[in-house]
Amino acid sequence: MEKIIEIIRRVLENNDKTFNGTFEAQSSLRSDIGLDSLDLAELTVIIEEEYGVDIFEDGFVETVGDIMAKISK
Amino acid sequence: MQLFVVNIGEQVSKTYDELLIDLNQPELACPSSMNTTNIYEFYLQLIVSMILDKPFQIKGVGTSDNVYHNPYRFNSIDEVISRIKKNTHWQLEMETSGTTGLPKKVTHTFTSLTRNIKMNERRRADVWGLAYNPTHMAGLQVFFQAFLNKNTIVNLFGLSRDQVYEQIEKYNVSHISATPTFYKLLLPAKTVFHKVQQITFGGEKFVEGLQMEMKKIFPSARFTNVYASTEAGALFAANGNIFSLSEKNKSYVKIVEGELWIHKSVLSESSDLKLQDDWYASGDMVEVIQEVPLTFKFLARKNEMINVGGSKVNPNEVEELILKLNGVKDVKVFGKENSLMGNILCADVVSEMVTEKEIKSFLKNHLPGYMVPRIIKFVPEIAMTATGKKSRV
Repeated sequence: MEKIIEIIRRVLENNDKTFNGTFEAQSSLRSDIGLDSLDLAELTVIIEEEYGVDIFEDGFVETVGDIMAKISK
Repeated sequence: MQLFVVNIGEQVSKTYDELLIDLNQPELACPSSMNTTNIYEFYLQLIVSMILDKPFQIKGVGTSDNVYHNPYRFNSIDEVISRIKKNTHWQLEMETSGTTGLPKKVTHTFTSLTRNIKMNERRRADVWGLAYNPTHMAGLQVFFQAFLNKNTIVNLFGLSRDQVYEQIEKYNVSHISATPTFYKLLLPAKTVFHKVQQITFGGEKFVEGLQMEMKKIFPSARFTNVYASTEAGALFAANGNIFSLSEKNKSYVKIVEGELWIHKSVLSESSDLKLQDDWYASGDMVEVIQEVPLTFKFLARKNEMINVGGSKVNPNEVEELILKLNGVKDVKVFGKENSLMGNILCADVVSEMVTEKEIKSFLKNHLPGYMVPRIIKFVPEIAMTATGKKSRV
């Protein structure tokens, strides 16, 4: 999960955003961490480059744990 | 000895006398479609097809090699040119470049290809720098302009930056017609060329600021921006990016929902173009500045627009802003398919000075969020397509 958190931090930083809470599996990417659609799109591109998985290809991803589930498939 | 064509890339150099000898052979090879990649051989096939008044195709290298008895004996290139002007059956079939979208087949006649060619004694000493693929529309325009005035054609297409500088200098090139992408290759300025009299931009959207930079390299040149297409040939010219149409040209165009439409009377005789009530949608998006006389500027190609989450982004607009940053030499903005947003905006940037963060925060101050590229990569150079345009893929 550290790697994913690192990528999320990178996206936040790229877009001048900060998240002061703790990253947990159930943290919502939108409402807790504060990513908008464009941030999420950027996140998918980076994750796809790293893991070869398009996390939004089928269905929706809501939490950090959802991402973990997609890339561990 | 007047040179006809020089191409350092293929180490070819031919004079008009040598061309005349080749045109006076008792038998002439006249393939129905080009079967060479050598620039002189290609011009020779083109001229022979016009002399024999036989249709010619430009497409992938063909195989047919018809040989005909040569009924002519030319004493000069002028005689060749007057023969060519009398042809009635000759036509040229070619395909549009298909930068965006599938290539379309178009057929031109000598008249449609040379509509905007100027011939007179004043042009005898012109030396043309050919910066386009010789087999494409813009390259053919340079060929006809130069050949019909018996000028030298110096190939600059596909050469390195150093070679381009060297060839302009060595052959005293006086006229260059090229894409903005080609001119950018010449920056930063290495030499000043006082002998270049004419610089023509075409093929892509005009880049503000580039003309200023080019004036430093070519201080004596006149600058023209040409709107041309494979479908219609050269249509109209402007100084800068603002086109103002004469009464004559005005009747050939109309603007529908921001898109430029061209009347069939100025198009090639083509089978593939889709016409709607005699009008052809060019796919070029323009902004009307004034209705009388009709004045507009080009914004983008219609299918160049990138759909990001339902909002349309004009990549040219974003590129222009990024180029304003100090130390940015070149940039390409393009869309990458994305399952969430449809497309995500990406930028390849040529620069050793700016950081990703600087680019993004600068753009955020000037553009809405969806227009700011989310993925920025630094690259050594921006690739071009075969026609010398920026490839947006």
